[in-house]
Amino acid sequence: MSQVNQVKLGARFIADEAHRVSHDRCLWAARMRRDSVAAVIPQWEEMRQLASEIKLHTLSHLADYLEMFEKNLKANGVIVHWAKDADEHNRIVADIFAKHNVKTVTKGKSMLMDECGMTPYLEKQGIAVYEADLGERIQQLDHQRPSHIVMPAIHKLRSDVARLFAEKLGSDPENDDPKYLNSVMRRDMRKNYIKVDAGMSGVNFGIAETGGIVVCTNEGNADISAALPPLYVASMGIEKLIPRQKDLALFIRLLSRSALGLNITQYTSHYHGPRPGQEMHLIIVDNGRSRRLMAEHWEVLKCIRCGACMNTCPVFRRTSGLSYDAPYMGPIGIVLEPSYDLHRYARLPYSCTHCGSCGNVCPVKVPIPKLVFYWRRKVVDERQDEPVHRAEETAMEIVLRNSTNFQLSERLGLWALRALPDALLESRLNPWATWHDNPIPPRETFRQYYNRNHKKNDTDE
Amino acid sequence: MTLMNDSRQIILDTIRRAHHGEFPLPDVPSFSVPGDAIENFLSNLESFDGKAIRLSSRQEAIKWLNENVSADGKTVFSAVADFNGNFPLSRVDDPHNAHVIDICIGEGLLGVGESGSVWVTDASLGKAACALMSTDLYLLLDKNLIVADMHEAYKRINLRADPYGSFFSGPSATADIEAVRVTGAQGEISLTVLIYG
Amino acid sequence: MKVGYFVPCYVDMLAPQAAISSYELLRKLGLDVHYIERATCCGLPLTDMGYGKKSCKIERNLIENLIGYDYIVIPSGICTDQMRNELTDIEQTPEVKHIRETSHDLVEFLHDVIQVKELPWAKFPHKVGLHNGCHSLRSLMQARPSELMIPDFSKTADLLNLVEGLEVTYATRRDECCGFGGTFSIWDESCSGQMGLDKVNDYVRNGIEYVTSADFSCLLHQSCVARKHNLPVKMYYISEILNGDAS
Repeated sequence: MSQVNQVKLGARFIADEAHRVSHDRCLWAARMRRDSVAAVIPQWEEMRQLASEIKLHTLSHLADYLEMFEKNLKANGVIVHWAKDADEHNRIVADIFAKHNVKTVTKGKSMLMDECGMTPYLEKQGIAVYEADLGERIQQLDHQRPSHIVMPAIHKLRSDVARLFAEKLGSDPENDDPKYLNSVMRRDMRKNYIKVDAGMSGVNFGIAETGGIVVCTNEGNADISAALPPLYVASMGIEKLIPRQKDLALFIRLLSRSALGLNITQYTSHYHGPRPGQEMHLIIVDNGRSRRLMAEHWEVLKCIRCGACMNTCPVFRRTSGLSYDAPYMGPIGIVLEPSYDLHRYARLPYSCTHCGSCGNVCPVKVPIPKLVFYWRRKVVDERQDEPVHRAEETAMEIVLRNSTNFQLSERLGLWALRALPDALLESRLNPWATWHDNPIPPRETFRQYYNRNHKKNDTDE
Repeated sequence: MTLMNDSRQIILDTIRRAHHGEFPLPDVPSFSVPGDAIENFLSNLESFDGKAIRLSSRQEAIKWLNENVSADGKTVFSAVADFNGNFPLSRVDDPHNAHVIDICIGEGLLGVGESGSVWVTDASLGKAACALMSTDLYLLLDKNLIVADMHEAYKRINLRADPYGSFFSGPSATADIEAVRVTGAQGEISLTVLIYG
Repeated sequence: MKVGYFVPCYVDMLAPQAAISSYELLRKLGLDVHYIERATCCGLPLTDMGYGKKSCKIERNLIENLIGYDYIVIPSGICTDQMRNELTDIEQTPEVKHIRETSHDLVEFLHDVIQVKELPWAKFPHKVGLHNGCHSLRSLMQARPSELMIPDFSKTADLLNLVEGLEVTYATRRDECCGFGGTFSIWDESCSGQMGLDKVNDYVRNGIEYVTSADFSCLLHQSCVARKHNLPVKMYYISEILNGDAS
């Protein structure tokens, strides 16, 4: 597969002022709400630390906890499956559906199912899959992937949605009131719910001690998907496990506050087995996670998918999630995707200014800034770096390796700044000039100042 | 079947080979939340667009329902013993049928101050579908069952007792279009909590 | 106390005024300051891009020249962060460890080490927008990053508050990155440029005419964006104000 060029895709979004400004405003507002709800909890930082420690503990004892989880799930009447990769996951789902003669499915948001490419797979088998989350449904109708893990269509303007719904669902193209658009979605989905054969959802947390799963939504879409049909299938990455019921309090308190700046999600729902007359399946999925767990960057598995890092990331807010052209985007995406395919995602770790804000908002302290460095090194070590970067860095190394080389280059550089005509300095060869004036070359460097004013005295001493 | 078991073993074996050092499981203390639990409950519920009505007793709460919930041409489902609806539980043996319910009355089993949430289960709602597919949801909640925070809530709940248990915090909502908050997304459009005692 | 003064590459070349005012300020404070002539760079431009292994010669050259001082003072937060937290590609000898531990950004050195309590020569009767560079803020913790729910503090603001007539103020998004990001500004110029422009516009909307920072790299980027877009914001490196050079 070809390499993703986030810079180029991002530049397009940046140039689209209306979308960029709206996107940035919405996400920054979420970040601000996050700050205000976190600020009123005196132990916020202590909670983050504990959540991180619980995750590290669970990940370092994951096999034992998974076994405990499986045993308790089975005791609760849940049918458990294990999938080592996306293909196996999709096959398991298709097999369950074939056995139950499933034709129509509604599903709650699941990043994992997106990661596995499940929906297109099922559609090929003639199964109608309806995304039941408004944002996901918008993206499904528009044949795009989600642009944010919590707000899948946040890169769109209401007018985009009005146009899309008019075309696909026959609504009034002139009415772009979000209230109206939501009602269009609600009406349309109710038709699907009535005939739904199976419901699906992702999982926010698995609890080893109790053998249950927790699904957090605001719309109630996952709950309805599970509550109506005789079959409910959920998929969960192995890293979503926490040990005990009491740990859940901590994670539930952190999740929605970090994600949207809300104290909790509207529906924080716990499933501990099928209701009478229902079959409940849980697919426990690896798809590269166990490999990640063995690697140096294993702490990325602490992520609870709240999206806070995206809301705060200055690059993400201006370029939008689609520019990452990957299931996971933004800060967590650029340190996660290269572990799926280093060549394809080799440039993503460079879409970062190292501001460090993502690491500070992360409720489980995933060391994203550190991992960005890790991946840049990996990209270079595996020779996936851009040839032009390699050349630049080689030149830079020669310039900076000692004082003699540096002073010579410095003189050359300043001469160029002073002597070259603006036309050349502002040509397309100089990307800096698109947004910047060139630096004003100083009359003398610090070294020259020092030599003129102080060197003699210092040497005399 | 053998294939699936293979995957299980492969996954577990791989995971067991990972070693990053010792990470003990910390205890999770109950962090106290400032303020009065009931006051917090009321303001948080309101912030999630839920309505709260305070009544002096269970009888008063039922009386309020009798006076205010009009069955006029509407389908009313009640999961509580002391209030009668006009739609029997047997009708939702197939939960798909719940879509005709206009009004659902359920039992709240616990309240959480810090989030304005009400703990409900399949049983306390008759069936979850009844609440989720209704237009207007009413939950009865004994004020003495409101705890301060999630730590306290999880101490009191037995998750394994019910296949489905959920914290409902206001009616369903979405902010997926330009982050504009709209209530009445997929689930119920309004939520009223009758707090008694 | 023997203080080594390291002027990083880009400061020497493009921001001599920052280096000069810092040097003069240290001397004015009565310190035994020694300019380290043969040090060039901390290696950041390479490690930042993943070429840490290539940066060893640069880092060794740096270390060789930095031996023998009680403290190293650097008029650049981002380079200080690199030295303290990222100088890991070379062998960690006792000298290297000593240098990494005793390297201080100017602000930290003034605030934490010599604990400056007055700057009688410094006057600047203006409202000044304070921009804490991301590395100074979130790695060196020179102020409370807005994400962290810890008691508020700001070493940079403490120092600026010693200047007569100066009022510290902030952009609305007070610690949003300005988009410089080293090589990021070259290879992702649209995003970097947009971030810079958003930052400068934030100052303008808040009526901020003067901006200061302990990271000249941010100021260089912001001032070049401001000039390109004809936005009237003047940028001073923090020592220019603390030393009484700015007016």
